[in-house]
This record gives sequence, C-alpha cells and structure tokens, in this order.
Amino acid sequence: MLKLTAVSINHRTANVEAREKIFYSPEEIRGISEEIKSVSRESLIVSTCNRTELYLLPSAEPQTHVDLYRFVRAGKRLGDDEVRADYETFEGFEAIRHLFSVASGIDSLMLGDIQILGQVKEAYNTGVELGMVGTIMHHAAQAALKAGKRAKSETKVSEGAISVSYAAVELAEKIFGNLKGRTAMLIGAGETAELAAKDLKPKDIGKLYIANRTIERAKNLTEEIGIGEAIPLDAITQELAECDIVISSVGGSEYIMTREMVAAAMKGREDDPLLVIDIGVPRNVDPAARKISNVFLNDIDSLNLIVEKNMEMRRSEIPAVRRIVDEELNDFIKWYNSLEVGPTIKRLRDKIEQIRIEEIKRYKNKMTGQEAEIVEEITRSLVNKILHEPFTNLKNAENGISLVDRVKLIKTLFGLAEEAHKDENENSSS
Amino acid sequence: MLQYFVDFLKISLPILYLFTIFLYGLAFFLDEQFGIRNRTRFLIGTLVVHFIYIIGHTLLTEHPPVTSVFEIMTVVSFTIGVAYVYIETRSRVKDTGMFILALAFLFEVVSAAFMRDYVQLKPVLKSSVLGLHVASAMLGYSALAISAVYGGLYLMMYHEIRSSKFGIIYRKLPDLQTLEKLSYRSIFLGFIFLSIVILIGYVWLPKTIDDFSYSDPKLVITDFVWIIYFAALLFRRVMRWTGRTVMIVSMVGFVLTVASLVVVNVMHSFHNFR
Repeated sequence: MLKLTAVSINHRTANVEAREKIFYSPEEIRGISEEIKSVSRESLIVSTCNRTELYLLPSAEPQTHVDLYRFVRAGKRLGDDEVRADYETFEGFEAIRHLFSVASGIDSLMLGDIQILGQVKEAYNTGVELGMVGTIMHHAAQAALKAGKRAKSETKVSEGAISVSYAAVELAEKIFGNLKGRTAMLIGAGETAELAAKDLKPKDIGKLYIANRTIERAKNLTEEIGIGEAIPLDAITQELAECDIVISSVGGSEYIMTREMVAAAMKGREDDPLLVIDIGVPRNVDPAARKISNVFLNDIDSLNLIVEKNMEMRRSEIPAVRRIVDEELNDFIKWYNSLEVGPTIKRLRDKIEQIRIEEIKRYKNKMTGQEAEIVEEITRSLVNKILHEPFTNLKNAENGISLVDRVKLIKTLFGLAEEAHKDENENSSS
Repeated sequence: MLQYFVDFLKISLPILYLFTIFLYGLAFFLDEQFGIRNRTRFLIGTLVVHFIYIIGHTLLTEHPPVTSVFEIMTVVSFTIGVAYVYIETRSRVKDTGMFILALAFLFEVVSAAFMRDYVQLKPVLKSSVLGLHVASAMLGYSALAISAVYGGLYLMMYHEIRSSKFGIIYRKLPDLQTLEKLSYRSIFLGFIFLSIVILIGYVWLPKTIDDFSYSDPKLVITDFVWIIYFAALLFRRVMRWTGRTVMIVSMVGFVLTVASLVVVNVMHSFHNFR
C-alpha cells in the first residue's frame, strides 16, 4: 500500500483571503523544503491562487494530516487565529487520484481551467530542483500531467469561454476567424472594458480605440494595458466605419450608437461584417441596428447565454475526465505494484542462495576438492531450475491472482515480509 | 461475375455513404471518439470502393459512366467525396463533412435507384476530347455543389449569431470567414471548370455533331449558370459583394445547375449520349 498522505487547502475549504495567506511562491517552498525533507522520503507542494496542497511520503515516522497541515501553516508563520481555513485530506492512491483531478482541471474553481496544468508542472520542477521529488512523486507528477493533457485534448472540459469578456472575444472569432489585424473599439473605460481589452490584446488585433466621456480615464487604460488609442466619446462616429468589433459598456439613458450611425458606418465599410456587443445597462446601442444586413448586434444576455452554455458543456464532460483520471490511476497503481516484484525476487534468491552456501559449507570437509566442485555446480543449477518457473510466473502469470497478492504470498511463504520492512527502514534512514 | 460484383457495389455504396455520414454525425452532435477517430478513414474507404465501382462499371459497359444523368450522378457523388477529403485535409475543418457528404449520398442514392443498363453509344462518345469535356463538367458540378453546401452553412451560422441562439451550429461550425472562404474558393474552381466545359463544347461540338444547335436547352441553361457565377465573382470583386450575398447566389446557382441536369435530360436535345 502506498503510504502517501496529502492535505489540500482549496477554494472549497478556505476563502480567498485565507488562500492568499497560505499561498507559497517557489522561494517560500525553498524555505521550508529542508524541514519537510527531514521527515519525508518524497514530497510535493502545489500552490496556486486557489489551492495549496502538500503531498508527503513519510520516512521512518508516520505523518498525520494534522502534522502536514501544521507544516503548511508553520512555513508561512501563521498562528492559529490568523487564518481560518479548513482542509481536505487524502491517503494513498486517493491522494494520487486527487492530484490527477487537479491537473485535469475538474477540481478547479473555474471548471476546466487550463492554467492549472502549467502550475502543476511548475510545482514538480520546483520539487525536483529542491530534491523533494523522488521516484514515486516523479511518476505521479508525470502521470498527472499526462491526465491533464488527455483531458484537454480528448474532452471539451476546457473549451468555450466562461467569462463574459472572453465570450465577446469568442463571438468575434466566430465571425472573423483570426482577429489579427482587426480594429476594435471599446466604448467605456471601466472594468468590463479593461477585461475585454486584456482578452483582445493576445489576439494581435491591429488597432484598438478606447472611447470614454472622460478622456483621461481612457488614456489611463491604454497605458495600463499597453495598447490602444484614447478618443473622446463624441469621436466614435468618425472611427466607427473603420472598426470590425465594437464593445460598449457605458452608463447613460440615451443610445450612444443610433441605427443611423451604424447604417452610415456600414456604408463606409462597404457592408463588411460589424460585430457590436452592447454590455451597457440600460443599452447603449439602438436595437433597431440589428436589422441592418451584416451587423451582428449582441447584448449582455447573449454573452451570458454563451457562458451558460459553455459551462453546461464543460460540466457534461466531467464524467469523461473522471474516466481518464481512473485510467491513469490504474496505470499508476500497476506501475507502483510492479516496484515490489524486483526486490522480492532478489530477496528470495539471496535467501535460497544463502541456504545453499551454508549447506555446502556443512559438508565441505567430507568431500574432495573435485566432489565439492561438482556439488557446487549441481546445487547452483538445481536452485536456478527450481526458481526459474516461480519467478517467471510471479512476473507474468495471468492466473487470476493480482500482482500485489502474488508478491504478498511469496513474502509470507518464505518469510520475506519482515526482511522487506527492515530494508525499507534502512533505505529511508539512509 | 463482374455484373454481380458491380451490382453488389451499387447497392453497397449508398449504405457506405450513409454510415460515413453517421460517423460524421456522431462526431458533430455527440463528440463520440469513435466517430472522431474513424470518420475520415471510413470516408476514404468508401471512396476507394466507389472508385472500384466506377472502374467495374466502365469495364462492364465498355464506357465510363457519363452517358446518362444517373450515371453522371454517381461520378459527381464520387468527385464531391474526393473534393471534400482534399478540403478537409487542407483546411483541417472536419465538422462540415456531414453536410457535404449528405449531398454525395443523395446523388448516389438517386443514381443507384434509377440507373438502367446502357444502350449502344454514338461513335462521337469515344473521343478523348469528350473525356476532358465531361471530366471538367463533373469537377465543376462537384465544386459548385460543395460551394452551395458551404453557402448554406454560412447562412445557418449567420442567422444563429444574429438571432443570438448559440446552439450546436454556433459551437461546431467553423467561423463565418472560413465558411465564406471555402464557399468562394469552390465557386471559383467550379467556374473555371464550367468555363472549360463551355469552351470545349463551343469549339468541338459543332464540328462533330450534325444536329448541333446553339439554342439547345442544355447549352442555354449551362450558359445561364455560367453567367450567374461570373456575375457573382465579378460583383464580389468590383462591387465588393459581401459573404451573405455571394452565398445566396452560390445556392441559387447550384439549384439552377441541378435543374439544368434534370430538366434538360427529359427535354429533346442533341446533347445526350444515346
């Protein structure tokens, strides 16, 4: 049985304030790595804005969940009253399953979050660099990354926008395909505009206008995001024909864009498609503009609908991701159990060889040199022949008995269990 | 023996096309891994069978299957499939296969249901110029058929976004720009082939056919279809017609093309092969 223990302080058990306080940077992990290594054979710390998790394979002394939780808090020098955070606990292969679920995004606050895969990889790299990761955690982390990649490529758990601002970008991509070189205009310089600008920027758009009643605010936003040209609100008419995408999110009781303005812009665009997203409440764009050919006018309800449908789709993919996690876990268990076979075979061979040598020693004086050589030859050959078939069957036999049970049986029959325990303790202390 | 083999393939092909569409449908509607993994493979297999069928039919009847509208339909069905594999490979857009292949299936079913045994051919039909004429026509019709399907998909997507429905069409079809590009390229190719067909027809047919007439219904309708596509391409370039208008023209042009194939074949014309 895998003696792995894990604690997880995550978005289900702690609020954002507590999670922020418990978050570990790679430098902070370095700070507590020696202390963790002193009580463990292997360990791994995964820390993101939504979770901090410690996986630990204890050395000689077993470590409880409470011990692990104390490590996490102590590393950040957090007193009992300073942070109120509960935690989840996992043991053995369930801890591995949890790590796989985390890497595949189904344990994330934002279901299907793809950033988590990179964060698990970073945690693994840090663990390797600090000498915390050994054979088992190495294999677990690699399998977790594989599960995450499979979840991303074989299911739709990470597909579709699940934020309103990204839904707007996704909608633009459904009309124009690649947004590279396109011109966009954001009307308003508030939080929505900022999020939309941040989502548009990586798409390599050609030009970005930010129109606002207070031009300074628009200028501040262009400086903050590093692209765009600030224009006053009354200049939008002149620039509208140039724009492929318009996202409007300002307050006010009158329409910022009338049907006539949009119609005039479409003439200037020679009827090229125009996407107008009206996030303002009350609406900023005259709904009658929707009737103009090649104008795609969508409002906040449309974007919410996209997000809702995408969330529904992602949720429906959870069983498929769980199947991937199960498959990878089964492979991991098989691999882990196979680790036991080699040492068991070696111990049994050593034990029988020892018996053979001792028996020959007992009768050595009664034999001539030549006879001793012959007996040596015969007994060695005998031992090899007797052990050959059991060893082959132990490794490969498809006889309905699991590998774990076969190894257990051999250890019990030949009294190897105690020796194995002794070896394990010796290895961990070294 | 060959007769039985060709008949067996004739019955099998619609079933194979139907199963291919089923696989594309599984992938489109349910994202089934079996459909996703096997749809293109199965389509290629079906096209191989279809090719063997065309060869078998040619050996059996001693002429390529282009002597009646129903024979032409099986070749058009095959070329639609081949053209689609090419488009899928180039564009990596796989979610439109179900729609394109539905058209290939339709042609194949009609062909299999109504194709009759051949009759003796006119000597003129043994000419290699005819081969080029007919091959260009097949490729042209297939390209126009594909263009019409992409045009239809464009309009579906256009209305899906305009009406803020965001259902499976929105989720699975490629973006409007891509659909327009695929349709436009197909129109362009179709137009080129149609031009070759007409050119060969006007140069070669008067010399070889005694009762040739410029007022023949098939010629008139083919010219008319050519003018429609020419206008669509010209207006797109000169008057900057946008996607939606070109897509509508593409669909109308295709309906007329099918009409020219069907109607003209029941009218009196020198332009038949028997």
